[in-house]
Amino acid sequence: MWSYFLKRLGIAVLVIIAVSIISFVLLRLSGDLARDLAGEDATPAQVEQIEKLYGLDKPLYVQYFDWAFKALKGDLGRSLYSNEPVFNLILSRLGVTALLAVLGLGVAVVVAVPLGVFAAVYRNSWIDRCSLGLAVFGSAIPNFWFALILIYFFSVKLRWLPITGSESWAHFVLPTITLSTMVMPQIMRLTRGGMIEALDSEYVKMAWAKGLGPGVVFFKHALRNAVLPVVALAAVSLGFLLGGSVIVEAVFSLNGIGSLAYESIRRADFPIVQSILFMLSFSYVLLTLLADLINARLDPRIRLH
Amino acid sequence: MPNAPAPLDNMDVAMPTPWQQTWDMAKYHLGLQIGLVIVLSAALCALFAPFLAPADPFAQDLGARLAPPIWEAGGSWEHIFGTDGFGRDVLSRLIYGAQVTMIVGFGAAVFSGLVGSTLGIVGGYLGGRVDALIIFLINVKLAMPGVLIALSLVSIFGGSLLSITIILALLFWDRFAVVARTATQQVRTREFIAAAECSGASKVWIIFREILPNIANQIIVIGSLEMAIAILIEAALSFLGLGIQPPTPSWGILVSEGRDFMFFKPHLIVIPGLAIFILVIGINLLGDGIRDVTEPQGRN
Amino acid sequence: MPVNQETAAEPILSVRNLKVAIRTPVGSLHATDGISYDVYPGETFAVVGESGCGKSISSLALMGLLPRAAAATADLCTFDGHPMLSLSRRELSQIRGDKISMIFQDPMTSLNPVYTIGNQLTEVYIRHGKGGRKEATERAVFLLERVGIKNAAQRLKSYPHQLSGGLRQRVVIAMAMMCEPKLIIADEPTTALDVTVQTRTLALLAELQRDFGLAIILITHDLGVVASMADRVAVMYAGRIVETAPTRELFAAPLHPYTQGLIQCIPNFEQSGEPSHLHTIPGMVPSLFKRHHGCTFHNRCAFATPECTAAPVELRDATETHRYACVHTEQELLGYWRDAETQEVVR
Repeated sequence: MWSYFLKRLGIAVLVIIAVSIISFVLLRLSGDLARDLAGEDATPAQVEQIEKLYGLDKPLYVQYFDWAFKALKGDLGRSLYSNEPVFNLILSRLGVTALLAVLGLGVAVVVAVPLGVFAAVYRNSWIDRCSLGLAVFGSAIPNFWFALILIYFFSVKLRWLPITGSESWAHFVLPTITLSTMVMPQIMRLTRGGMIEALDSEYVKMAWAKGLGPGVVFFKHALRNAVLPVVALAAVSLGFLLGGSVIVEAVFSLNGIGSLAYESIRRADFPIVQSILFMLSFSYVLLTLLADLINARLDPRIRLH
Repeated sequence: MPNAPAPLDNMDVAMPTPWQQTWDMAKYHLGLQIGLVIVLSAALCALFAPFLAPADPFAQDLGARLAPPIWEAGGSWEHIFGTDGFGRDVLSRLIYGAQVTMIVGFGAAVFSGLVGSTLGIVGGYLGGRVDALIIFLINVKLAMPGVLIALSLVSIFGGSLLSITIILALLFWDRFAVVARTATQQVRTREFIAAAECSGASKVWIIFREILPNIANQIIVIGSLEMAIAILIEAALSFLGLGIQPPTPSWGILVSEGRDFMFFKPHLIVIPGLAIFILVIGINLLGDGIRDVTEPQGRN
Repeated sequence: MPVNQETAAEPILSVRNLKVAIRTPVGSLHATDGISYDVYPGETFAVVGESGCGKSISSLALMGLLPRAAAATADLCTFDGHPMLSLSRRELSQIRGDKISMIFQDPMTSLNPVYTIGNQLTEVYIRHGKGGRKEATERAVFLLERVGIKNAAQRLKSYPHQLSGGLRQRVVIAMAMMCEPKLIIADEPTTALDVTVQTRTLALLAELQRDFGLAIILITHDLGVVASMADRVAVMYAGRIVETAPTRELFAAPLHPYTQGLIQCIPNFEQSGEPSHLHTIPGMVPSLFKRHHGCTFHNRCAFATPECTAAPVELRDATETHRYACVHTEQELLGYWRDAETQEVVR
């Protein structure tokens, strides 16, 4: 198993490097950064000064390595606007996004997995149709619109929950619901599909033939097999929620990484954008590695290869 | 010597052809039919917007701002869905918005489908290093947060219809690649491919004549699902202001414009949002329906 | 070991007129159309037929393991005194694994890949209240050794994918024996195995049967398996039993034209060392969606006459132990058989 894992690790490192290069190049594509920074009516001399100041006169690959070495040491540069260290900025806003992502995933799993199990066990019953309907609903609804609708009903009409901000736990309810709907359909579908496949399998037929009871057959034999791919999906979904929270944070005025990224993009504050892109990719790769590890642990066919 | 066996009588069942089976199943597949109706309606709105829209979507009438829709007090047939903050007719903007939605959605799906499927088929068929490279590219793409990349690219390249379509296409090619690759690998191991290779057919010929027809239905199904997602993301980008730029009506922009008046004129956000929702459901139903009726296994 | 029916006890399993219908979107599929048979304690009863003839379905019906869309009815379906088709799910689950065990075709897929074989062996023992974990483990070790698996105690901790196909099937056999069943239903137990392993597996089953006094229902499409192990045989075609007889008699004097065709299909070599031409049965199996009037085989039968479709064809006795379902007499059918044999030799 260890050679398998090391191989994955190696590939992961290559992926991270590739991503960092791409995001680096992407942002330099925007045209003349120095000119933008200097302003419209700057003289060529001023522009040159800016270039030297930010190291923009060096060749692209040199700029990249400069950035990469600094990044490894934790120095992600400074914001072009506030001059604060990017690292600190990101750190201060990371908590909100991470919390929301974990909560969103948690709610999604707690709802979607049992629903998927019931839908598979009672296939073609009203439970099954309801859960498939819910899955369609969740994957079709525009998340920003859903957030607004939730606000309209719960904050305005019913006045149960606050609208925006992030002071109390109540502020996190609607954003969490919105985020969980973004990943719930896939988790439900995968659980259901896996359970159906498990329930149709020969080993489940054998379990019935041995006279085992429904509880044992469904939960010990079937679910244990069905849940393997769901773990990987959950890890990937967490990565997705970390990156996809920008809309939810915009609607609910939450101070997370997403809104930081959004503001920085609008202001063309590249050091921040690049660092966020890199950080999100890094966590995604980490999460998929973690999922692989868990999978290997859970599946004896991989563990004892 | 005993007699020859009796001729085939009606004890035996004749097997219908695949096309007949598909048509038979399609006739009874409600989801497919509903999806088709919805998607065609949106396509019609997009194609014939100038004829269908009751008013000019850009014409402002500040005297008739925020007129209520037909089902509220004060509504009139002149503005069935009311008017927005600038007095523009909501229904007309909705119909014109369908153009943006369908063009971007369809265009992004087609572009990313072409690129992604090509990569997937090549990787799946050739295997070896080429395949390893393509998998690597897919992994790199997967690691990157799509929405943020799209936002960054729009801020760099601007929000024209073409640039948005291409940018969104960059977000989805990996799903096509994965599906095409897996499907190609499955088909590749079947004997008729080996037979074609033995008879000296060129790789390109094999890909077009043997592999493509067998995986086409899976690609189309994924294509429809990706189109739905493209529409959702385009709407989100427009909502955030980093997508299609106003005054061009995109359904996402309609929602974001209506947001300021949300609390006392909720229909301004409900209607465009509902339009997106219904269209996406329609596309999903259509895609699922196509998969159900063309899937070879689903016929027993 | 052949059982002399005159001195045998009551049958341990009696089935009369079992009909299994499966609801499909295109109509009702009659998987079995009124089959009847008995199985006696300690004997091996083989059910032979091609794929889709309904041989597996009847056993699944007996065990209550039919798919949701299927329904079974019978005039009689009694195992060891229990009316199997009218038991509740709970009562059925108490009999399954305890008094009746099943062995399926593919041992790789019959064992759950994520649990050790020890876990899967002991769970059935514990579930049926035969003892605690310790006793279960002891019995598992005993049985694994009995089926010829060395290092049994250590093997308990291995996972199915770590064993070879033949070993896995032995584990499945051991698993079937955990609670001392009276009947084992083996559904194509050797089909998924290599030929060399097949013989050993069958030999193992025969040994266990002798030592533990089990009855075995052996479901197969392979006449070779039938010849090597079965005491009595029932031949099924298109959902009906067309002939039953003790094994020797079936091969020596097959009466039903389908049986004759099956036996002729077994490839063999001439005395001169050249292969004889390969026999085939022309035509196709009839649709199971329709209830057929008269004989289901008539459209492929070389001896078909108008009588064949006139009325339902019931099993009739040739001897006390040999029954067949055909309108023609034994003399006619045996005559055709001997003609066919001599023609083979002449050719």
